[in-house]
Amino acid sequence: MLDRHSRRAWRSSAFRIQALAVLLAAFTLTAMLQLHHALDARFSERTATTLGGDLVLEGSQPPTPAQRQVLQGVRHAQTVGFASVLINENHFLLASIEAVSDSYPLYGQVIIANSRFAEGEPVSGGPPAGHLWLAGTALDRLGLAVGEFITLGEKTFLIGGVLVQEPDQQSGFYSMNPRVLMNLKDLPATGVLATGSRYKQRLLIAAPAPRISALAITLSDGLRPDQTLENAADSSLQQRGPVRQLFLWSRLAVMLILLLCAAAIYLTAALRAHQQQRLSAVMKTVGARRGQLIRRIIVGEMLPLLWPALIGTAMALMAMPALLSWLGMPLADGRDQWQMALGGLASPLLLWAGYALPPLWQRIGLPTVALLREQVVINRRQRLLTLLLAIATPLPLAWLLAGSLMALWPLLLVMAAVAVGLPLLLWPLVSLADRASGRLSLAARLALRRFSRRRAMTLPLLAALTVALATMTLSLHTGQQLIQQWRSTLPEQAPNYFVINIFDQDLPELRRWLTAHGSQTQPLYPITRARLTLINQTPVREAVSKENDRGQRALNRDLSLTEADALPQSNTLLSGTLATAAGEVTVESRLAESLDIQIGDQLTFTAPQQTIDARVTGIREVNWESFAPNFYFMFAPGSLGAQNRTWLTSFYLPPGNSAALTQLVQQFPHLSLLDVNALLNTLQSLISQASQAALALALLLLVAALLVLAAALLATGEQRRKDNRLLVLVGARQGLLKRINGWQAWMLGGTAALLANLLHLLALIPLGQLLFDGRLPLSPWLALPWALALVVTAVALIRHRGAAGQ
Amino acid sequence: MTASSPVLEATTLSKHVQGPEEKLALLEDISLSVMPGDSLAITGPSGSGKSTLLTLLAGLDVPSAGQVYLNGAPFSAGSEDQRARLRGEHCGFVFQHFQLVADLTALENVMLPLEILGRKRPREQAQHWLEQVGLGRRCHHFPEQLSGGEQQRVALARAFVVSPALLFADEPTGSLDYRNGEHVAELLFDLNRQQGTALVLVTHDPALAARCQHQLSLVDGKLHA
Repeated sequence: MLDRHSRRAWRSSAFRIQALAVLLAAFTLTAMLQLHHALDARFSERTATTLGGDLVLEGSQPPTPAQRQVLQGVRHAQTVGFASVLINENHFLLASIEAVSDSYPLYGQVIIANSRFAEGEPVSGGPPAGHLWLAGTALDRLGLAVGEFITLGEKTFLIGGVLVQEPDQQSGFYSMNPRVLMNLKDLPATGVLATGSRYKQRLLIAAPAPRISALAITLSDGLRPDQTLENAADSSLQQRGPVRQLFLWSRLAVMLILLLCAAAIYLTAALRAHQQQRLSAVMKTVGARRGQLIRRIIVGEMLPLLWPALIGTAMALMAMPALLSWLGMPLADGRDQWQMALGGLASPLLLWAGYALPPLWQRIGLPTVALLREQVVINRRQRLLTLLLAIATPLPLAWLLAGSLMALWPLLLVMAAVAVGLPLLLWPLVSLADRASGRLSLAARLALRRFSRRRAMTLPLLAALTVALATMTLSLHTGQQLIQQWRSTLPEQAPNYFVINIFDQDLPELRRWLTAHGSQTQPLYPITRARLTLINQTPVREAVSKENDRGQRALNRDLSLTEADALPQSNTLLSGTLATAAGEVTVESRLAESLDIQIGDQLTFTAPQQTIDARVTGIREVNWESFAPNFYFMFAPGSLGAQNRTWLTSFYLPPGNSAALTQLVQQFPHLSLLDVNALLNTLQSLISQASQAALALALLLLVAALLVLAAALLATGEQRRKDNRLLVLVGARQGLLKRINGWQAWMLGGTAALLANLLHLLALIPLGQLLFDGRLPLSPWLALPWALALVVTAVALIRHRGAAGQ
Repeated sequence: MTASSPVLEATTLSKHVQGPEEKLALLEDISLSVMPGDSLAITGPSGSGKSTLLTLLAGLDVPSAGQVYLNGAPFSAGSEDQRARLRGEHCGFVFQHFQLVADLTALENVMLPLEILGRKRPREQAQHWLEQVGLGRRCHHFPEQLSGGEQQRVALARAFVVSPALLFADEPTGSLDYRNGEHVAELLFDLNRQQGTALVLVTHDPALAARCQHQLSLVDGKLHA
């Protein structure tokens, strides 16, 4: 019986379109859940890798026994960071040393090389006991190579490798000392640390999210004053501007795809209900009970849709792992895969229950005679219930997609406003066009009438197409804009090396070296280290009332102050003016806010050999994601003096120029050269993947919009064919019917394109303010809806068939 | 073409379709002619082939054998577009279910054949014919806003607006109550007389058939005088 019903259902074009909508919904949601899961995992892993663990307990003293006790059975590692002197015969070098336990690193890998500037190789642990891994600059300055020996405190170590990159390297760009990695077991033997020594104890912890949350609560309770606890979840890369916007945008697009599928399901279900009216009437006439009619709906309409739902889910489950693996993204484990598959499978069934069931169900309750006479009148209560169900159905899907309705409520609100508001706005306009249609050609007038006389159907359809097209163009435009904006902060030749510790006397030679190697160089910035001590002559701790994390960090360490006569590209002046006269300074906006610094305030900085006073003239917004040197405080030239000044710059050098770098280091042995190629590569691959994802989403959106269009054409097909037969009867030739079809497609497609363009341009105003600082150039993507309208019209003309033969 | 030439002539018309097992004959060897101003009723039981014959005579379908001539010109041999043009110029139609274009007003429905033929001042002519059938005040109503009898009168106006030489009527009173049916039949025969239009009427109703000058009965696809 199931087979018979299923076969009968598949013979219907309406059912086939419904099945395609179900397949698309299942595929999109399953694929998107997997992609989001992978991106979540990737970003979380990257954040955890950068931090060193999911949770990091940091202090100036070792963790307490109670804190260690809590970590029983949890993967963890310990590191001790300190500054000490490496000795090679008569050469001494102050280095930043990290002693690591055997379980280090918890995330990522350490990259070491066999010789200076050789290709680095990832290794899964830290150095074995008795070995030191030294940064290349340390070897340069000490004149040593891998395989030679070096002394730290009371112990001599073998140099086991060149330290290229640590996964959790947090020294920042201003750490003056070369990095060194050693085994924690060797630390006591060196005798370099004693009570009172300045060092940084870190306990790195890795565990699943629920365990981390519990540990974070437990450890927070017992924190000593010197200890801080950092949670990767709080500082995830996902929270960073462009990534967060791309995530939000992709969710909006997926939600729209699901709603378009819902529209196609509704239209085709209404048609199916109409087609089966007579069958229901006959069944009732011959004594079918309510239960039998319900069973027929389930067996004949719902169960056959399980196949496309399963196929859509299976397609996503098969395609996404391959895609994610190709993109180098982590795959979900088995349990998560099943959960996502269930989500993907449930979504089309939910859409079916919300949008297809009401029209089918309504027929069950109608009197037999009404069904036989095709006098279907839906009462007010049923209409209200249908509307409430239609409004409520997307909510669990939005929750499934975003994990919370909060993230998506603006979208749902906008969609509801457009879905209801656009038809209401268009209603009088269509009436007006209808009245003025007398002067149109017969074909255009008949096409307009087909449109205007079925406004209850055509206007919501037009609204759905308009929203789909507008979202598609906005998605492509703003998505591309976001990516371009992001890419512009990371241009192809983004600086991949930072040079610090440059002295005044190095500048002429360094400039010559940079010019000789064709490097695109950022400006050279003078650096003076000083601590902010007074704001308007009041000690800074008293002056600051709302001290937060950023303010705290700014107060507790020496800051790098610089001078500049122009605003860097990655900065925007929000208020005030640039610092142009000696004794003037501009401040980064978020720090200014956290420290309550206003324009006109007098700031005092204390450096080892001087006090620096400056008046705040401007507040700058800084794009910290750019790979350019950025500063909290930028002074006017001549404000900082030349004492204890070093210089900093960054530059781009194409890969494969290690010989040039060797020459640079040999020429300026005291320079510190930071290689950020690995980080840059990761970010650039992320940008490329995001760009591909935006395109894929736009394509899915297009398919969904075409499905709605096909469903609508099918729903109005019977009336159209009847009208065409009549026209032929009274003498219309095929050319006229063809022109009517063409006009009809053009009116729908062209109007949708025009409205989509208007919606796009309207949306640019708030979006431009929100995402692009009020700047948003127009895009050629605006022509896309018109191209689609042309294609739809061409298809309508080509597919026209003789009505007389139908 | 003279006044004594038939406006419609069918010679040895046959229509066959392929059934599941064998070829089925819907019409066999039908020959008839209709003179200008004549009225011919075709009667017969359900399934006798009345509607099939009407579609062949009106050029809506092509016969398997035989030929239809409209005003002396071979009608069924032309292309679909040629038949549509001839039909528009010379024929009018009235159907049981009115067959008005739901998206057009009464006036626009009547204007439609004139506009398709490219005739001048279609609005005025359509208005005139609506007044003729007593619907001058219902010009801007859509079909769904009219009663069955009114819809059939709009269909009559649409049929006569092109001054056809021939009017095909398929059960024109079949969907109407007695009173409206009588009214429409009266109007149909009055206009037929006034305009000198030939009438081919397909009906079950013996009383309606009796009002025609000639009657033919169709049984199992074959004509009986």
